[in-house]
Amino acid sequence: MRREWPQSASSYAQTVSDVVRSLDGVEAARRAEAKPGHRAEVVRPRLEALGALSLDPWGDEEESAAAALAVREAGRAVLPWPLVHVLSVPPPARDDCGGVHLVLGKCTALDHADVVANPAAVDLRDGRVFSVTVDRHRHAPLDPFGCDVRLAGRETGPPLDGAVEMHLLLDAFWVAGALAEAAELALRHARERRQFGVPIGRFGEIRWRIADLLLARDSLDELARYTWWLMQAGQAGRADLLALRVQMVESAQSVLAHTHQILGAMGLCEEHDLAVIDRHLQPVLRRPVGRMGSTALLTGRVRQDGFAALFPVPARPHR
Amino acid sequence: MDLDLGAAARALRTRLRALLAEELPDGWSTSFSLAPDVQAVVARVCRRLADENLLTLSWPTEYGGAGADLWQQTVLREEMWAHFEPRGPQYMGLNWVGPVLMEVGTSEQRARHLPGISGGTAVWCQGFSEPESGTDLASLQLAARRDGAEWVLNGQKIWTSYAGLAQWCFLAARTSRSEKKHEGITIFLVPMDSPGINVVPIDSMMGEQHLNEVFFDDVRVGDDAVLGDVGRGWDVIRLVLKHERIGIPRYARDDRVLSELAGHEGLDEPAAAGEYARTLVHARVARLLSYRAVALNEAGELTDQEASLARLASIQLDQEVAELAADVCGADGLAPDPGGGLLGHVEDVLRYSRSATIASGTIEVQRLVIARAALEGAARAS
Repeated sequence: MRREWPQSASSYAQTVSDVVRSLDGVEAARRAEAKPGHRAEVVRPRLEALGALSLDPWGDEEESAAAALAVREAGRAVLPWPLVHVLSVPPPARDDCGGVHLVLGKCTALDHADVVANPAAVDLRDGRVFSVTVDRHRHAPLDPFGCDVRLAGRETGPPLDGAVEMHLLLDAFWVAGALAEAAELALRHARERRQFGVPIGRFGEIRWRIADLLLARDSLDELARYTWWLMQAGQAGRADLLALRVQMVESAQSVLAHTHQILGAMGLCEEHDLAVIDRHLQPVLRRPVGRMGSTALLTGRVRQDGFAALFPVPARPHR
Repeated sequence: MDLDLGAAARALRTRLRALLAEELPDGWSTSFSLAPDVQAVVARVCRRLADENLLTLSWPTEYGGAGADLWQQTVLREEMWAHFEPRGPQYMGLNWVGPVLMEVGTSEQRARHLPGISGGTAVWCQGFSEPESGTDLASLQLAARRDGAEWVLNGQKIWTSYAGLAQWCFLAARTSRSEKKHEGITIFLVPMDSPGINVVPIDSMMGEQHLNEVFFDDVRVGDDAVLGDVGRGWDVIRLVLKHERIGIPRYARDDRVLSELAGHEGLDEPAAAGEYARTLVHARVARLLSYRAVALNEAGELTDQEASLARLASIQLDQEVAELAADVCGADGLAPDPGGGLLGHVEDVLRYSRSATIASGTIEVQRLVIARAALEGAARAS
């Protein structure tokens, strides 16, 4: 077994990290929320200069890994640009479609749909493709870049084969990055914040929370890595990707709950990065469906396709 | 990146499943029993594994082992656990008694004990926990007093699995008092038929042989029973713990239960099916976290944090799967059904799962280990 990412991909991720830091990390998300134009005027050019917007996650191991790790680094700062939506468009379709969104049935709002050219939406269940028309910004704290949209069935346009799978995969890397950042904030606070004369990290209850949030963080990290590898090997089925989405949402719920509890009132303040990370993660956790909806989709897919394991779960016909 | 375990590991899994299919009777669900038919199966499986050089797969070739890599060892542990550990108590001798003897035993001790372990004939038990020394193991009090050329052992051990079957006890005793409780401990290799040893089984919800009390009343052993240096037993205990660091691959049996459960009509209920799907994800994650720990171990980079995270995922999964299986099978599953395949033993799976978060280091200790390592790591990084 070789678990290491290709060296070139790790180096590229470091470059992305440096750029995100030069944009002041999570501060870029605050600025974009206050001034939506910040996304296209400041963030996009920096990503474009890096070549991040033209990466091919279906490419060879090095490029695909670079795309996944770049998304993870951007996710650490909930960077205000729809990098996942952009990279999930198959390269041959990118001239005609600037970004792809996942939907499930009726959809009235999508995040960042206003900043990419000719956005499209794909239904997670049946693969139908829609064109997206943006009406207006929503200005909602938990949907900071959400836009009211209208979808219309698309008769023509480039094929978006594989976009759903790639979106599900890259979403997980984005969230994994954000959760890693949240975990670091909590660890730092547990070491530095003193109550009753000692750092709060000395208290058993805080330590338990740290253990549980690290387990949630690492669970997503490992499953994302594994699913990426399956995808590279051409072995990732829809059940594998939905399993990743279920873990993504569960990990996020656990990490965010524990980190908020460790940080206390401080973590609720807008000046603290945790509050911004939490709010800005919500769209990817809820759209197109959250934990229950994702679980329901996985359930159906396991029944239909089975599930790979040491003792595989067989497909099970409806009775 | 390549997350495949490799062709050798894959081939070994296939070989082990075929072997176990031949050797295990229908409805095999425990080796924790004095029943002659159960122990006959254990003896037969161990003999077959020994004959095929699979019993000491992990041992170095110089000790008659196969020198297998960590991934083959992982597969062996997975398959044995998935099939209710048909090596019975031998897993202790193979996994840590033998390896620790190789590291710190004298040539006489190695010559005396290793053949019995590698041949699958010698049964060992672990004499660590005491009534007042559980998680705080270093506070143990069982006394070893020097008397001429001998040591005299007095005290009590508890929770000792397989004590009623064992020929040998890997015993931790206190040979001197020190301000530092980790000092003054010595390891003794004690014949269980020594005069003065009394084994008292403890009835438990886990079944027979899981838990015993062992009383030592003026038990005499010679210097040849001392393993390692007198007073430096804690170093030996740390070696033992190192060999058990990643823990039991509980996810393997859980995977098997989940696979069997797939066809159960109880999963027609949407709520049950949803819980089932989530548990499949958790089982996969537990396996991956364990594989991460093995890979880091292989590279010599395993930290307490990753080892305990793997354990934390695995022990919680064990209880999650047991609860799910018991719930899906319903009240019918409360009684064993020897003809019901693996799901006929759901009640055993549930009973046994209660110990997952207690045995070999409680879940509380695992969490504290993880947090301490993470906080120290954060301090170093800042």
